Amino acid sequence: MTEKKILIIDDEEDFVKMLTRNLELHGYDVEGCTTARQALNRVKNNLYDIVLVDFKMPKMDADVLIEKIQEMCPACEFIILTGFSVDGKVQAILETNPKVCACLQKPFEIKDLVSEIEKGSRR
Amino acid sequence: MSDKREKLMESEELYRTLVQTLSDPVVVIDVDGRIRRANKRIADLYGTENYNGVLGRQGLRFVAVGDRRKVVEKLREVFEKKATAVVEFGFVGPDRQLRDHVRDVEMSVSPIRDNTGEITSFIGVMRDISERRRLEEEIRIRQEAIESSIGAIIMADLQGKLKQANWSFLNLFGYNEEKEVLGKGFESFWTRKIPSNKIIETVHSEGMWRGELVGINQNNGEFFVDASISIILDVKDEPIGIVGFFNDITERKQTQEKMREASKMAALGEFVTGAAHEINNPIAIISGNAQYLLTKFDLKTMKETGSREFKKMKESLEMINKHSLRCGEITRKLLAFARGGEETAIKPVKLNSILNDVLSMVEHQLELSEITVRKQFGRLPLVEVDPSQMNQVFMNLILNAQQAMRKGGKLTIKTEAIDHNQVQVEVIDTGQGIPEQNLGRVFEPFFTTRQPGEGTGLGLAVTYSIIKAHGGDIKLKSKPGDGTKVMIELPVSTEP
Ligand SMILES: Nc1ncnc2c1ncn2[C@@H]1O[C@H](COP(=O)(O)OP(=O)(O)OP(=O)(O)O)[C@@H](O)[C@H]1O
Ligand SMILES: [Mg+2]
Repeated sequence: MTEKKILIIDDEEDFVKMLTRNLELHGYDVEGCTTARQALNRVKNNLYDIVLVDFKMPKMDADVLIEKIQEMCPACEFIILTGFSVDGKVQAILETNPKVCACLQKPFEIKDLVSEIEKGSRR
Repeated sequence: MSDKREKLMESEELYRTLVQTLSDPVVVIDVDGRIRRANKRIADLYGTENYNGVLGRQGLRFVAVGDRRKVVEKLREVFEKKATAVVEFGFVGPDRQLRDHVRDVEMSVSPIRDNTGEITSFIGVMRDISERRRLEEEIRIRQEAIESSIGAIIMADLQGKLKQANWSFLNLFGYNEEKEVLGKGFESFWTRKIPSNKIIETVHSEGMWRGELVGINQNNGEFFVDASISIILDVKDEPIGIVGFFNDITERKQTQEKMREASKMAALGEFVTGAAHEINNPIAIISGNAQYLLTKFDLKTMKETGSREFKKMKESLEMINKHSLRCGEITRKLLAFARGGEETAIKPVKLNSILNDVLSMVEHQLELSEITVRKQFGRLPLVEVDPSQMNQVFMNLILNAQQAMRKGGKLTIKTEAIDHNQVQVEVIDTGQGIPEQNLGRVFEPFFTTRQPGEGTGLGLAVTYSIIKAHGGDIKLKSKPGDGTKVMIELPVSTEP
């Protein structure tokens, strides 16, 4: 099995760094970025299996960002990470977009995230 | 011409003049009821110049149909008692064109006797009382208007002693009859906190007073009214009394209070949501880093793994991780609590399957604690709720039940449709129960009896706010030693 390629998008650099380390430790090929623009650039030039996206990105809402990424990379799967609760808006995305596999509330346990990543790519 | 005859003529003349000059309408009716004489004033009653038209005609013809019997009886009475009597009736003019021209008249009827004392005719002196009637009717309508007013109205004398009170006023204060309040002082209807004599003083000096009053009803219940009290002046502008108008504003005040409360909650919710987000991000970084290091430690197979030093470092990291996650748990519940008052993603769902979902999530844990689960699901209609919030509600309740049954027990989940627009869910445990003194506090945010770090005390507070936001109700029954029963009622539809 080839290792999964993951993109982390979160405006907080330390968060990206922390998560990158953790996921690398679990054997994933991880890249991180802190703006929506960087993210779109990355997606243009690379193929990712899974994108982890902070729900509240400055300048662009996660649902818009997800759609834009999907246009370029229809096979991509997504996991939403949020500092808020899983409210109606997130719930709606989860229900309507089959490529959005899960939403995790921050803080979370890395093992839970890993299991979502594994589940996600099996679907 | 004989003397006698002359005399008769003379008296006849006198009689005629008398009748003609009287300022009131006069008729002379013979015993057969025919009009023999009438004066010009009769014409005033029906508004024509010609009054001769009435002569020789049946008197009853000019009496409104509904009054005829009354008039006939009166005449009979005069005839029998040989004494003057008064009768009121509607006078109908002879002119067909003026058919509707009915006047209210009051007629005093006296018998006219001949030498032998026999009654030969009657003389009726009439008075047009239409105007008086109209005024009486006007007063009656005004009285009726006061009586039918939804606003409470009283009339009092200058000292404030009640002379009249309408139905609304009696109803507002819980009286049945007006006489129960007549003569009572104005001050006796309000809480003592209100300086009633000051109000009366103001009414005297300024002509009116306006403001809110707190009324006390017969059952000592307090309520709020909006009052306008003013002086009543007579035609000479002399004060003769006081009139008060009161509107019950209790409900309005309560809604205002609720709205203030709700907007406070909304503001608090916004604040909490913002704060929680700000806290969650750094906590995620802290715990994530701790977890990274822990994993790293676990992967290390070096020989220091067994050393005491190494164990302590690992333990420290575990503590950092555990307690960051605990902070996260608190903010998560705070967020949920704040969301209780918020717009929710409501849709029709099967409550029973939500319960099944939650139960399957905790199944394993319940088994480990040796708790048996009994489901008594009734047939429920689809219920309009926010499914993720309901999930949370039942998760909170089931976890509480589990935590109350440390040594095992029975968890019963019962659902039932109470009627076509209401369902009930009961979560019943056989745990330790809640001591009486805690029962009133369990819904308070942060109230917990658990060990520090084990419970946030937000579970039931969140549950309460969610259920209330759904228009439902939650109640708790508990007996220490026997167990606890939580009852939730939910409307099937959130549309009122
Ligand atoms: N089923 C129950 N049996 C006995 N006691 C209960 C039960 N449910 C609640 N309580 C009491 O009410 C308190 C408050 O409950 P609540 O769910 O609000 O907070 P918590 O359970 O202490 O913490 P959290 O739910 O945040 O983990 C509990 O600490 C416990 O003392
Ligand atoms: Mg609890």
